[in-house]
Amino acid sequence: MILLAGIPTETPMALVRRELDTLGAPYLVFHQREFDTAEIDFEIAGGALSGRLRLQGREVPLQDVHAVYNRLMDDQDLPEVRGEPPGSPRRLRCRAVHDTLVRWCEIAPGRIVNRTAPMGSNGSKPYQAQLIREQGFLVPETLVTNDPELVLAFRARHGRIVYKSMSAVRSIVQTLEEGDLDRLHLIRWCPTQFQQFVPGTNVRVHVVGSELFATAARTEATDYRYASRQVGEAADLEAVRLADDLAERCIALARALGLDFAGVDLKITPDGDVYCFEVNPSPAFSYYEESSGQPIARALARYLAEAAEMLD
Amino acid sequence: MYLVLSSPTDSPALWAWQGLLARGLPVELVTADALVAAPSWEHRVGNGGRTALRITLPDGRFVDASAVRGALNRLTAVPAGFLDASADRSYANQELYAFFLSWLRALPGPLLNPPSPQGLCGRWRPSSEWVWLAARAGLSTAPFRQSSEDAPPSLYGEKPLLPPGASGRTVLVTAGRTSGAPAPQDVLAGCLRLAAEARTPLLGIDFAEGPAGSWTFAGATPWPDLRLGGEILLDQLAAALREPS
Repeated sequence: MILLAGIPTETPMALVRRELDTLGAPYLVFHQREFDTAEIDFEIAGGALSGRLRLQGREVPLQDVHAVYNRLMDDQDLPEVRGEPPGSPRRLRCRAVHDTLVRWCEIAPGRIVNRTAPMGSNGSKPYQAQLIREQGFLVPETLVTNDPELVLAFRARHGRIVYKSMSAVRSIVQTLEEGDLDRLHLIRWCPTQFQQFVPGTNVRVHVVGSELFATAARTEATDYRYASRQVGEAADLEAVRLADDLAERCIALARALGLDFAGVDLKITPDGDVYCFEVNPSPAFSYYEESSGQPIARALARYLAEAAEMLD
Repeated sequence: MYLVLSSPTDSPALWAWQGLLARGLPVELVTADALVAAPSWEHRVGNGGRTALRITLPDGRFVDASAVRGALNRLTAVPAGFLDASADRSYANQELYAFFLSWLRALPGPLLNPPSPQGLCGRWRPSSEWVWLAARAGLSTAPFRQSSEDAPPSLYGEKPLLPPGASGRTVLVTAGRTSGAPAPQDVLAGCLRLAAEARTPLLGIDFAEGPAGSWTFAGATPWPDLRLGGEILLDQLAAALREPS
């Protein structure tokens, strides 16, 4: 049995569900917004893990759930609890359902795509860059500082530099322009991340287990995801094939980070150097699938179904 | 130079700092409050394994990671008291946490404990995970149950694994050596396996009389009260920091 956890109408979730229907693979949906009627419990005893999940009136032993697609959004942001005061019974129940599910996922056998803890490396880009580097990728030269003089020296050395958040919040890449220098002193309040600008072609690589889909994004924008906003025109996306050794390194990188499903952001320079910027642990792959026609959802559905078949 | 990184009110860390000084290690105490107020930070991540870290502290001390040979890391959070209540407070807090995670990761030499996205001084795990890992490490565990019908555990309020009143004993693991409560050999071996499995070289493991015997697992933390390990722990800590990484 496969468990899909999240908001069923969210596009990546809907695409995977459609592919599971095509495959005829049995699945359950935990709709986060219906937490009121969900029940879950688990027990660890004698070194064994057991439990039950009750959704839409149907009860399933957790031992029968062999694969999970985890697209859970922050339950504090659900419309059903947004207006609830802190500590209200409904808010507490919402938290209890999600907390129990997430904690079970962290220790459950089977394919959990993805567990929560490994996803954490993306919460600090320079931290994750160190892990990426250990897997043999180039990473952009990075400076984190609260000293404007160091930023100016870094810019003088690299020519064009960008700045972006270190955490997963407000992660939009911007070029440091002349006009930004007047407010550079503001970094005194909080160390800020700057990186050399790496010219070349952006390639998003979706890794699904040992399968891989590479999509090139061509644009003049600093951050291709926000190309419409930055240069007035969306990036042009197309499927590309990676060299075998690079493909293997991407798969190894996702595995090293503990991720069954990952979005690896590469940039390939005109000289053929490959830089890795970050690894997204919960990629919204539908944007790439819809633009390039690559069957990412089908691969993910198959990956989940394989685990369920192996263990059912 | 060695570092003890901690909150200024972390008594076990201050005790360890004094103990390491007494053992002849040139140890600098650097508090979390000093770190967030540092007038100059320079942290670089480059290729070929290059990282750099230079900090000028508010009292004028200068820390260059190239001179650091090891660190006792007791940082649990980035102090946020200096941040105002604006909408940017949460964002700034997350940025600082991400930054601390990175520069701690970049410190050379033995680091007890290395940072994790789930905790600056090592990964904080919920009780369910500790019980699961402890059982796999061969420690005696009482049955653990969690349900959506229970009140949710709060971030710092994990429900106790054993009934209130059960007297506790703590074994400390320091880089593959144990100190603290005089546990049987098989329990100590299980503690070492647990620390290895949890990838947490400095780990406090609590036991109590419980349904699984007199050494029933009662919890674990990467931020233990080091004083429970006494002088033996200080010797082990000094040796661990001196070991080449």
